Formats: sequence, structure tokens, C-alpha cells
Amino acid sequence: MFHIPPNILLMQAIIGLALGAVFVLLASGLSMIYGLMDVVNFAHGVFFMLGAYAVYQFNLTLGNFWVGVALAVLAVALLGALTEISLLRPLYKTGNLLYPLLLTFGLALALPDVVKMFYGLMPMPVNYPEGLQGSLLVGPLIVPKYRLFVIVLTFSVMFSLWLFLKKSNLGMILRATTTDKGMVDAMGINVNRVVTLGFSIGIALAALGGAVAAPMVSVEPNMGVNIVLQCFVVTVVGGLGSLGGAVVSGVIIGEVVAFTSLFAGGYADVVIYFVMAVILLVRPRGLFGELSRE
Amino acid sequence: MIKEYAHIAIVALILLTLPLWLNFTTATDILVFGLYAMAFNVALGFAGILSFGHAAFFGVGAYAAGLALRYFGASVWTAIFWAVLCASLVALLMGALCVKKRGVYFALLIAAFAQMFYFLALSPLRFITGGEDGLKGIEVLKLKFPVHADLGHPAALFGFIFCILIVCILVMHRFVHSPLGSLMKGLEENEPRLRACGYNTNAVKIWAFAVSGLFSGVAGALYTVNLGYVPLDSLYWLNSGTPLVMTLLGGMHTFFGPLLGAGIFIFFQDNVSVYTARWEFFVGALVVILILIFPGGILGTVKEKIAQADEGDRQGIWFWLKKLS
Amino acid sequence: MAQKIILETKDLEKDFGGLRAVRKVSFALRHGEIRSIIGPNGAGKTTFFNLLSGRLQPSAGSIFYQGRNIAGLPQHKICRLGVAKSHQITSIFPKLTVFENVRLSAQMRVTRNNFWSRSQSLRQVNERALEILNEVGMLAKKDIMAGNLPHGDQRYLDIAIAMATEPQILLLDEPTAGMTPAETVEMVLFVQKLAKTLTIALIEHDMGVVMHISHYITVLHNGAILAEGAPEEIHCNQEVQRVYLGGH
Repeated sequence: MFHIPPNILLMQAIIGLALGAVFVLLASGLSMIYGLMDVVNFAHGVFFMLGAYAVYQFNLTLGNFWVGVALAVLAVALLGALTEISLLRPLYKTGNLLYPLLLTFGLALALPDVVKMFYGLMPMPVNYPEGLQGSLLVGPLIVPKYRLFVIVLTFSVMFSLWLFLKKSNLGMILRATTTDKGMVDAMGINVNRVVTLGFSIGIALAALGGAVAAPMVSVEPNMGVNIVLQCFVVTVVGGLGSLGGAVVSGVIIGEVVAFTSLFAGGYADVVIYFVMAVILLVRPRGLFGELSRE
Repeated sequence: MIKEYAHIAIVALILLTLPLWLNFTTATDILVFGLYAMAFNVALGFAGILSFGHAAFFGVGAYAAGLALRYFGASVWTAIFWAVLCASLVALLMGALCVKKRGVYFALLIAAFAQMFYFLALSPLRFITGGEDGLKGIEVLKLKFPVHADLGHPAALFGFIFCILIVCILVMHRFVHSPLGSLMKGLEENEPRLRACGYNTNAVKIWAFAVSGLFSGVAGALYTVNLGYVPLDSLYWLNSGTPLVMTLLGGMHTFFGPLLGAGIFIFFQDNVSVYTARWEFFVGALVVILILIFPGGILGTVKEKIAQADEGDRQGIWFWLKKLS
Repeated sequence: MAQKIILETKDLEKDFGGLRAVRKVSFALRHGEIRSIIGPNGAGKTTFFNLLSGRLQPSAGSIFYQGRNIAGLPQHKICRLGVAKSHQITSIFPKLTVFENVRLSAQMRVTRNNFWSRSQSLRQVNERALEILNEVGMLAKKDIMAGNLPHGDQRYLDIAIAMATEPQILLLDEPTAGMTPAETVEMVLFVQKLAKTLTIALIEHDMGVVMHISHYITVLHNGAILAEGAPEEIHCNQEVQRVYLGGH
């Protein structure tokens, strides 16, 4: 097992980090939505999938990968906002947290079929954009360019998100809403709009994850279903509602999966659940989760 | 109390008539998934415990029965026995490990554990479970006790599964109306108060979950008996959503709601999928519509309407019914 | 009163993060007493009761019930030992009937995880539930859904549920909260009746009730005991008057 040369190990570490980056995008979106609405968004994987398909379509129609990514994120985020307003908002007044959760579950069932209707079952090819194909060779080190890009992009996005939440007015309002909706409402702020904004940001993150993952993975209708439970694992391990937790957890799990596929291929899928089981049993609220967020 | 047994009898009669207007396959599927959904609802509707991992109990039951039949030449009864034993143990264990976690954490943790079983069947234990292809090679079953029957014959199969379902319904009914069953109701309504009354609510949760797992295991065994093989999918976590949708459809706070939901769902599945492979869209859309408009499900909404109708309306309806007959 | 001490705490403390809600409280309750716990808002009264009933775990100190240290025991075990509590914010089972509410509580003493017999046919439990409903005067309302009861009745139901566990000590958290003067008088009579067979500690804000009903009064302020004594003594106590001058 240790005959593997270190530059290959490093390459695998970068692949793991890139995978982790996608997880981070997904998990932080999920965490944000949970923090705002106390709802686990089962449809998160579907928006991830829609982001990938959107980038495929925009890339096809407009011929530019970068514009495709930007438009994909915007379009899917808008769709997310519409979903929240028309389908989820009516459920808040029931006070029952089960209903929004089940509704997102219904969406997770229905939407992949809609995509199948338009695009069929075969995976759609999305090429690496020009300039990011292949790898950088730094001495003996092999650094896949696109994956490096994904890591840098995610880092920048998360940093911007952090800045936004910490420093901007809107960000502070968002954070306040996750802690105490009533107080924000009492300040005369339209809580519903804040929630919609937060939900859209969460969805935008998922869509971005899908858009950047598109060249790396197989773009097919069930890609969201497969990734959604893994995404839950990352979020839950990091702690539902904790953005920092999502980041740490995403990176760790990305690396764990990457190295497991290198050394024990068949177990890559299940090692995630094992990690989650162990962490939840030992530390129920996840690595950084808040106490009694019930 | 007689009223309740009358309800069960009526339901039994209705179920018996199913093969008359549906084919045997659909009817038998309804029985199997009706049991699965009702078992699921013991946890969700009666104890307030949401789980996304019931596929573990269903699938373990299915495989336990399948393995017993395939490798040990067991009788159907033995197969069911093993399914019950294994599924309940798994549910007991998983429940005990996860009981201290709340709501969504619990549901997801159970799903994660369930996925481990899926993986076990897919890869390391491939040589006995058949991996991706599922467990095949089960001979056509014959029933020897209490009557002789060839379970390859659809009517006999239906009859056999029907009898098991009714027995399970009677037991579940008894359980739900027992003191422990009342505790589960209290658990769902106000867990802290229940604890303050001197009950170990964690123990109650584990019991409820184990019973739910037990009957899900029976459903799994019947699934195997019905299909003649065990598909790997029976362990896939997302399929834990099937009993959930059925329960929602029929009404999660009612006893027979899930059975009704299963009936409608299976009917839909068998008839819509003839026209389109996109039936999951319809199911998903159905869930969305249901949640928005009829969160109580069909039976739940009906019960609500009946409760809301005042005495005057009820007298009026009786009057007209008598006039018409 | 030279009765035995039934419940006592020694240097009991509770911290919430940086906030010390209960400070070194040493408290002794005698068998058959009616003890009122009073103090301004935020004094730690409900927290103290929650420590006694096991709903919260102490950060330090000990709690002795009939001589046995119960600090750290889970809530349900403490209830079984004989310490029951009614709630400041009414906590009942809203979708069950009044009768079912009390029966659910009463069956604790009779059944052990019974999953076979029919609830209805456990005569002992049913009779006990009816007895208790009679004692609180709600027998006529037994088939009403608990969530539909008026506020005052819900508070009696809360107490009835606690009584059904057959406690030795009953902790009442603001039993007269939200009640009309007439209802308050009834509650006072009720508590006095209960005190004939139970030891009672109650948190109260209504000074009229407190002065009238109590054998002894404990005054809490900022989580610590400010003063303890018979009603007349507390009434004249200058410290207590100063603390209450800000109103409550």
C-alpha cells in the first residue's frame, strides 16, 4: 500500500480536496437552510443536479463555460426562490416541521423525472473549459488544473460568504434570523423575505456545486439522489446549522473518500456512513453543531 | 371495542375483494406494502418517530427470509420467523444506539446505518446475497401447514399473505391500544411531560421502534415470498420513502391510513407506469400537493370533516340514508 | 414543626454557561409542610424546582430525598421516588381527553411496559384516574379534549397529572398564574386540602396567597436564599421589602 509514490498521493489529496470543496458548497447551503428554517432540504441534491444540467445547457447554447456557470447559478437560485415562496412558505404557519421536510422529499422524487423528460437518462458530457484541462507539472508534482480551480473557487466563495455574513447588514440580519426570528420580526424586518433570500443563497451554493462538478462527474438525472445522503452526512458531521462545521467536515470527508478509493476502492461509498455513525454516537451534535437545536 | 373489531373485519372484507377488480399481482403487492406502511406508521404516526432507514428492517427481513429459503430449504413459516427475529434485532439495536438523538439527526443516522446494510449486501457479502443482481434461485414455495397449498398459484399466494396481514393487523392493533401504546401517544404529544410522569421515554422509543421494525421485517419476508427473489433495492435508503409516502397519502395519524395509502400508491404505480416511466414524478407531485392541501392524508381529512360536522348534519345524513334504503 | 426533613439540598448550584442561576442553596423541607418559594423574577425559583424534580442536573451540591442523594438521577427516576411537579407553563397532552391525560400518568404505578392488555380494561388504573379527577373537581369534564379546556382548568389538569404519579412531595410552580380572584381562592382551598396528605412546596407571586397558605416561606434573590421564616417574620423583614420594592 505504501509503494505509492508521494506525488501520486499528493494528487489524490488534491482530488480529495476538490471533492471536499463540492461537499463544502453543498453542505454549507444545506446548513444555512437548516439554520434559517429548521428544515432539512431533501431537494438539495436536485438543485445540485439542476446546476449541472444548467451549465451543460448554457455551455451548449452559449459556448462559454464561465458564463454558463454564472447563469446556471442565477437561474437555479431563482428557481429555488420561487419554490420557497410558492411551496414552502404556506407551510410555515402550520408550525409542523415535518411538512416542509416531506415537501422537499416530494420535490426530490418528482424533479429528476422532469429532467429525464427533457434530457433522457444518458449522461450529458461537459468538457473542462479551455485553459483548465490537464495538469500542472511542478517538478515531480502533478496538480490537476481544474481541480485546483475548484478548490480556489470554493475557498473564495466561502470566504466571501463569511465576509457577507459577518460584516454586511444583510448578513447580520440573516444571522439574527437563524437565532431568533421573533426578534427580527419585532424590528420591523420582513422575515419571510429574509428566509427566501437565505434559502436562495443555499440553493445557489448547491447549484454552484453542481455546475463546477459537471466536468468531473457524470451528469445524469440521479446524480442528486446519490450525492444527497452523502451531503447530509457531511452536514450532520459538521453540525447542522454550522457553516464552519460544513467546511471542516466537507474537507475531511472529501479526503477520506478520496483516499479510501485509492486504497480500498469498494469501501469508498460506505466509509462515509461509518464516519457519520461514529461521530454522531460520540458527539451527537456534530463537530460544531449547536446544542439543543431540536 | 366491538366497533374497532368491526372496522378490522370491514377492512378485511374489502381486502378480500381486491382480486376481483384488480389483478392478483397488484392485490398482493397492496397487501405487502400495506403491512410495510402500517409498520412504518407505528413509529411515525403513533410514536412521532421519523426514520429514513426503514429499508433496513424491510430489507433485512427480505434477505433473512430469502437466505433461509434459498440456502436452508426452510419452510415459509421458518423463513418468516427468521425475518422477524433479524429485523427486530436490527431495529432494537439501531434504536438503542440512536435513541438519544433528536428528530432529524435520528432519522438520518438510521438512514446511514441502513445504507451500511445495503453496502454489506452489495459488496462483501456478495457471494451469499447475490450482490447487485439480488438473491435469486429461490424455488417455488409450497405451504405444508396448516393447509397444503402451492404458493406458485397466485390465489393461494394472495390468500396466504392475506392471512398473515390480518394476524399482523390484529397484533398491531392490540399493541397500539395497550398501555405501552398509550405511552407512545404521550411521547408524540409531549415527551418532556411523559418523562416528568416517571417514564423512561428512551425505553418507550426503543420499544416503539422495535415493534415498527418487527412488522417491517414481516413485510420484507412477504415481499420475498411474493416476488420469489430479493432485489438489492429493498435495502436502499431512499426506498424508505415508499412507506412514508403511502402513510402520508392515507393519513399518518390513523390506523388504516397507511393501508389505504399503499393501495392507492400501488394502484397508481401499476397503472400509470403502463403509460409512462415517469411515474415518480406523479408520486412526487402527489406528495407536494398532499402536504399543501391535505396534510392529514385521505383518512385524516375525512375524520376531520366528520368530527367537524355537528350533530345536526349527522342526524340529517342518517335520515337521508334511512330514507334511501 | 418537629417533623422529619423529607427533602433537603446542600450547597446546590446551577450554572448556565456564564450565568449562575442557583447559588449554594441549602434548603430543608419538612414532612407535611406547605412551603412557599418567593422572589423577584429571575431569582432562580423555577430553576430550583427543576433541579429538585430532576429536569435539570445540578452543577454542584447535593439533593437528599428521604435521606437519599438523588442529585444526578434522571427525571423519571426521581418522579418514581415520589417527587412530582406541576408546571409554570401548563404542560399537558392536548389531543387526549382529560381522563386519558390522567390515566396515562396513573398507569405508571400499575403497569410495567405492558404491551398486550387493553388500556381500557385496566380497572385499577381507570379507577385511580377517576378518583383524582374527582379530587380536582374535573370529573364532569373527563371526556373533553384537554387542548380545548379553558386556562384555569388546564392548570388543574396539570396538577392532576402530577398527582396521579402518587408523589410524597408536590412542587407547584405558580399554580394561580393567570387565574381570576375567584379561581385563586378555589386553588388555595385545594392546595390546603392536598397538604393534608402531601408535602407541598409552591412558587407564588401572589402575596395574599403566600401569606395565607404557608407554614414557612423561603425568599430567593439572585439564585441564593435571602431569608427564610414564618410568614409574619418574612412580612416584617426589611431586606425582603427592599428587594420587592421594585415590584414583581
